[in-house]
Amino acid sequence: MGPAEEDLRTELRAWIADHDPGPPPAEYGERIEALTRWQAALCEAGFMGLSWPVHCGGRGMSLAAEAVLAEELARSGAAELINRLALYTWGPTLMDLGEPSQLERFLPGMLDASELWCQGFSEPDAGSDLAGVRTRAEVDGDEVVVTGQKVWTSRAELSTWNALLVRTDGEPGQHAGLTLLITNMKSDGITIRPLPQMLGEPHFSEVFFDEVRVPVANVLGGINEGWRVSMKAMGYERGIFVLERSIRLRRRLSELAGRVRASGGADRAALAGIGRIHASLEMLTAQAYRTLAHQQAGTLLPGATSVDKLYLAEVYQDLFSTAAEILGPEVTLADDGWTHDLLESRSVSIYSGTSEIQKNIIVGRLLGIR
Amino acid sequence: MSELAAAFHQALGELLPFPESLDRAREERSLPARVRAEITGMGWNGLAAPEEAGGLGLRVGEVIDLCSVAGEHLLPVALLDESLLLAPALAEAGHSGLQGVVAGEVAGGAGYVTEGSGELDAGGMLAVSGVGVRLSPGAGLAALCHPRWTAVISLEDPGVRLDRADALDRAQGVHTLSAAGVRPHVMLDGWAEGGAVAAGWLAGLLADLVGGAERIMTLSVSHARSRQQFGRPLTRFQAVTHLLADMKARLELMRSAVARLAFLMDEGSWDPAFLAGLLWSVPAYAREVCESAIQVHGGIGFTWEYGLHLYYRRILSLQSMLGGALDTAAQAGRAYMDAG
Repeated sequence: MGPAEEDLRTELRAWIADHDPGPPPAEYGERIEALTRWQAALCEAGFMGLSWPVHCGGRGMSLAAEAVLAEELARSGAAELINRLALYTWGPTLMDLGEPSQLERFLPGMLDASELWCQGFSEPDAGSDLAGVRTRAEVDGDEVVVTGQKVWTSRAELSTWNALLVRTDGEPGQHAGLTLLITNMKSDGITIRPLPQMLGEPHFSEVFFDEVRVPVANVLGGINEGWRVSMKAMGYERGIFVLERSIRLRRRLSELAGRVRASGGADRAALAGIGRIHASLEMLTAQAYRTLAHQQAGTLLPGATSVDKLYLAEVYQDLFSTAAEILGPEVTLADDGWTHDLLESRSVSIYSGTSEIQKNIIVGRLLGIR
Repeated sequence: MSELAAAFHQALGELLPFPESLDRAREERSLPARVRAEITGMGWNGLAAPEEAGGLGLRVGEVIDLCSVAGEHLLPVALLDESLLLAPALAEAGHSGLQGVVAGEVAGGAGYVTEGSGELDAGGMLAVSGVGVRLSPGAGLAALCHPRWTAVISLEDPGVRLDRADALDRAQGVHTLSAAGVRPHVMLDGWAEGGAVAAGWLAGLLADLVGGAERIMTLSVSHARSRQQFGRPLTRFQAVTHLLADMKARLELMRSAVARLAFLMDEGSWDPAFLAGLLWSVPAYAREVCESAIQVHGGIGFTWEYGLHLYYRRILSLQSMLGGALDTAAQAGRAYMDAG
């Protein structure tokens, strides 16, 4: 971290101390509203888009500044940025591949959370295998007409925009012929059916498209360029994201240590468990910092972030199962967040590329085995 | 890789051919004096010692690259001990023995004293019992590293007793050392108290493990590419490639963590709880990499001749020296809890 980042840290710490909203409400709808207000306030204060260029509404700082933001947010009650997918994945992808008019239209709502983003990749027959996308789209004049179905779309009902991967050409199974359409979720012909998760929260949905008309002006990166756009986006997906998650996990470890201290200290097994998690989180953070440094320098190897994602899932799951062991039988007798996170941890090795897919990417891209 | 690291890489490749390392392990022979002299002649023993004392005064970030090269080529660990613990400890204390160690004229070694296997009394006298130390032939000095202190003692002291050990990691000159009523020549802070000399040595040993893991990884990938079963290469079996992916992930994590440790040390902002974590994770991950490598290789990996066991013995020995997986994990947990 350089002096600019350290100044930012001081500035953020002071601002957060004055504005910390405290932990968001447990109820899903209220939590979403509170988190949306929180990001809007952070934006108003100039803390969103730190690494974005000034002409895009950002502050033109390094990615290290985003790391500082994530670290300082983790000290607050509300560490989560509701529009994180837009801020860290689609914003940067748009800035790389988008037209000036698209930047002007979409970037501001990403920053102040007035327009939330979701991502329409997975389908009933295209999960880990993106090339299997069958949702069809045909160009009709200055519009693209979309018909098909997406699934596991997180926060579909809350989002204004969907980074929607559709097939404009070719057959399922081919990388060619895919197109990325920035689709308004309020369009006619869209039906959203929530799929309650094992946590009981309506976090993701099935989304049906019946002749939905999207302006050609909303194509990102060109017709039939969707594979390239998706790969670009996935490279961004795991940099800051893993760091942010790791910081949240650090906070949970510190809460666990607090509980252990309050209950009269730890035996050797508990100390070993805490030590293992502490070490793993340090490894994860070191890895995430290295990824950010490579991203900043433009030297990130394709596939490298799969190591970060694979390990995030491992540490996430290890933390909450170890916590449950250390806290003992009472952990399942009270709803104080630990069992919620224990269940939730199982999703981490599935979402945004399963652990098995990450291993395949490591084998193919990092080890060069085809 | 820096120019210096590349030079050592080439030199160690020539000076330490793998078949000879295997033979030395079989016969439990130390490095020939001629080879040792060539390595110390390149400045190895002065890597971390200050320039005014004839050392190279390298930063930790530079030293760890060289240690990874050492691990890859299975340089006897006592040479890392002399260079990264003994010489810097003597330098820190302004001890006259420094020049001899840097020049390779005074041989030495080091060992790690876990909590409970050795103590300093109130009068500064050392008592340790049965601690494993690696010694170069003719060693006169040994550095002992305890979480809370670092000491250099003379092996000629009448209170010192050395016995040759039938150790797992052969040809490393391992002895057990017991000492009673021995006054150290040098006393420094231990790593858990922020002692940078001991921490630098530990960073070097962890980097050695990274280098070894990297070598094992390369061997495993190349084996899986060339070995055919059921008419296709092993790389066509996902059960095998997923082992390789796990190994690669572990390797990259080790590399990131050790590089970060070195970076923080060079910045002067490292924290003992961070190092305590790595003392568990890096050896544990190196061990996983090696155990998977043996599995990926199948029968050939279990032969003496192929030699994966040289890496395995080194990893197991370093892990055990530090207290073993359970103890180092508990130590990391205690460091975390104490740091609040």
